[in-house]
Parts: sequence; C-alpha cells; structure tokens
Amino acid sequence: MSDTRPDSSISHAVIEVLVNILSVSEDQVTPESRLVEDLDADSLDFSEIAAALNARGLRVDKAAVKSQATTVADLIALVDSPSGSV
Amino acid sequence: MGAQPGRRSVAVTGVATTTPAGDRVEELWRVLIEAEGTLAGKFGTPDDERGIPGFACRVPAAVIERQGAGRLGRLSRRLDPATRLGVYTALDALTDAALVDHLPGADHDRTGRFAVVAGTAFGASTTVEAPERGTLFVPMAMHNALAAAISLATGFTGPSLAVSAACATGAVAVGEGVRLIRDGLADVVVAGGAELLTARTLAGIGASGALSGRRHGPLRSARPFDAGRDGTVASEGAAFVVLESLDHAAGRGAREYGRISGYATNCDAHHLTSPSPGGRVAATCMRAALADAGIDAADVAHVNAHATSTMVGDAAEARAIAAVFGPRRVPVTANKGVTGHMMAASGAAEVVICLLSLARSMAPPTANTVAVDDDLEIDLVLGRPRPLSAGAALSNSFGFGGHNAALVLTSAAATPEQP
Repeated sequence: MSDTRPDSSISHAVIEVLVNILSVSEDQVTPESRLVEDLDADSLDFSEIAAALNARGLRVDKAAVKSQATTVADLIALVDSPSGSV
Repeated sequence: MGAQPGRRSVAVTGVATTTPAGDRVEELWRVLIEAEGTLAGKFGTPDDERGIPGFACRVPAAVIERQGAGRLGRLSRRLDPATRLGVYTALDALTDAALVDHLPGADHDRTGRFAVVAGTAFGASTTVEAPERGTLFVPMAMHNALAAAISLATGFTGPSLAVSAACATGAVAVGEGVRLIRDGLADVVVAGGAELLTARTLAGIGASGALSGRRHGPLRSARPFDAGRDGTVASEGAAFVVLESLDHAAGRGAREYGRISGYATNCDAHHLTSPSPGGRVAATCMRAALADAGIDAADVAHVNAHATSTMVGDAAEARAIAAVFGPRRVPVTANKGVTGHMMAASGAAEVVICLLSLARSMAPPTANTVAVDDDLEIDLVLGRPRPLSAGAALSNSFGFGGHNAALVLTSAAATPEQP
C-alpha cells in the first residue's frame, strides 16, 4: 500500500474496543491519548483489548500491545501492521 | 457465662438485604409481616421455546441496577452479576452502619482491622455473563470472587474469607465473622452471602428433588412445616451485616441492631442431601450455639427456622427443635414461605429478620402453612404476627452436604455484657 496512514476501519475498531473495555467516552479517545496515564488502562485491560481485537479478526500480539503501545495511535499502528515496528 | 462475657458478644451495627421484595430491609419486613404468599413468578420468558417449566423468586434486574448506579466504576464490568449483587448489598450494609466517617482510608495499620467474610452456594461460575471473555473468566468465576471484590471496593485489608456451605453459607459467613472479632483479628467485619439463579442451577435443584411442583399456584407453593408441603421455591438475593466489636461500636457511638452472642457449626456426615434422622446433629449444633452464648434453651424466646418446605428437611428440623427446647415450647417462624430459598443469602437475611423480630418483640407469621404436620411438635407462628416475650433468638441454617449452623442473637438492651 502506498498510503501509510492507518486504515480508518481499523481506527474505528480500535476506538470502539477502547471505549467498550475502558469504559470511556469516544471524545476521550484521541490518537494522542496515553492508554495508561490518560485512559487508566491496566494489565487486565491490555489482555482484554488484545483479545477483543483478535475476536474482530484484527491480529495483534498481546505482549506487543503491553510493551509497545503507549498511545492510541501506537495501538492503531500496531494493529495496522502487526509485524512492523511502531 | 464465660470468664470474659463482654468478649463473647459482637454488635451488629449495619444490615442490608436485596431480596425479591426489593433492596430495603423495611420492605422485606413488611412482606413478611403481611405474609401474603411466596414472592414467586415464572422463571424465564413465556415466549422462550426452551423456557424452564418452573418458577422461582427473582430479584428484579432494575433493583440491582439502581443499587449499583455509579458505585464501582470500572470494577463493575469485571464482576459476575452475582458478585455485583453481593458487593452492592455489602456496601449498603456499611452505609447503614454509618461507618463512612470511620473507614480506615489509606491508613494501613487500620485497614487491616477491617475484614470480609462472604460466599455463594453455587459460585459465580454458574452465572458468568460471558465465559468467552477469556481474560476475565478466572477472576470472575473464582469462588473467592465476592470476598475479593468487597475487599477491593472497600479497601479493607484485613482477612477476606470466602465461605461456602451450600444453603447454610450466609449463616456460616456471619458466624465466622463473629469468630474473627472474638479472636481479636478484626474490629469490623462485613459478612453475608449472595446468590443469583440461572436456568442451569434451577434445573439442577429441581433434578435433586428439592423443588415444589405447585406450578399452578406459585404464591402458595412454599409451605414450611405444612402437612402438604412438597418442596422449596428457589430464590435469589443477598444479605449482609456489619459486625463490630463492642469496644469499636461503643467508641464511635454506633447504633446497634442487636448482638450475636453464640455460634456453632457442624456437619451431619450422613448423606449428601438428606438430613440425619431426627435432626440429631442439627440439635447438637443448636445446643452448641446456646452453650457458646452461655444461655439455656429456656432463655430463648424465638426460633427462626431454616424450614425450606421439603418433606424430610422440615421434619428433621422440627424434631431437632422439639428435642432442644421441648415440644411446642418456643414460637417458631419460617420466612421462606414468603422469600423462597435465597440459597447463600438466606442465613444472613434471616439474621437480619431475627434481629428486627427481637428489637420489635414481634415474630412474623409463616406464610402459606395451613396446618402443621401432625407429626411435628413445634409452636409455629401462623396467621398473624406473634408478640415475643423477652429473651434471645436462635436462627438455624442447614445445607446440602449436611452443613448445619446456628446463631444466637440477643437485643443490645437485654445483653448483660458491656464493652
């Protein structure tokens, strides 16, 4: 793909999962939002987020979510190119 | 009386019940006094093809939602529905105890003096909403989920114990809470039980032969000690009490509902589901609770029976009561004619009802029972509420597995012990 921006359907799916699992409103979820500091995610949430994304057919590694995704944009990028670096 | 009678009794300073009558203790008391029948309805929706051909008493979902609104934040969605029901009711009991200004907060020396004892009979695993949510399955379904969630919601870092003794769970939770305080391991304990039904558990209780078959008249189905009793009505609910050492309660000027002065628990070791013949071991349990309270059978003014309305269970209990107190010597009431059998919540709810009965010198009547089985030599309160003379009360609870528990309750004013 020549377009390097994340697929918007992936962005939507990630935001929907975050809203659901972290019990936050959609307004609170911006690309810059930090998962732990701003959205109060904890270790159980990271596991749930990865499981929910996988259930939607979006392959993402649980350990990578925990270790590499600081912001919402990081998480979207990780889902967009699971094998790539963030 | 023991050498230190002042250290035997424990104060009850908060109570809460969530039952088919709603989430207010006074509502529960009202329906018990009115005794108009079992609060039962059809289980499942009428248009459900696979609908369970049975009935039960349910806690309306709206009641649980109202109780929970805004209380647990994100913890709420990590808990099974039965656990949520229990946590909300435990928090209601702590609110009722007016402990808010006395909670330990982040002071770890003090949080360790606040404890939890809680349980369910079936365990949350049977009601877990979405077992496919793999991440949360174990924390939601583990048998200690309720005790852990209450500790988490309150910040209590003292002992947090999960107890399970089938239908005696609520009473055992309260009794073990009393022991924690007596043993000097806690100043405050929130203790009780919670249960929700599912199609699976209801079918299971039915298959064990314990349920009433009066499908055409659910309101008249539970008939404790009646000659025509044919089984219990499964029910849902949660009930918690706040137990407090007399010193701690006096130190903060707490209102007392009454005291728990004696507790005993034992096991029939006879059969998985049937009581020992003549209620022999249950009678031993009642006598042990009286001895623990340092009183005689003659000091007891009222017995709150377990009486689930099964043929063998009620007969064994009636014989045990007659053996301990003498034939027809003490007024007995059975609440399950109204509430149905709230499983793990029953024993704790009946402690609350018993304390109100003592405080108001009034025993609610036993609903639905027309004529006590000729064979059973008990003085059952029927028809209208019965004024009670001064004295203690004893509450029985028995469960599958042969678990027996008896609690002796006294009114705060009548207890000779002072802090």
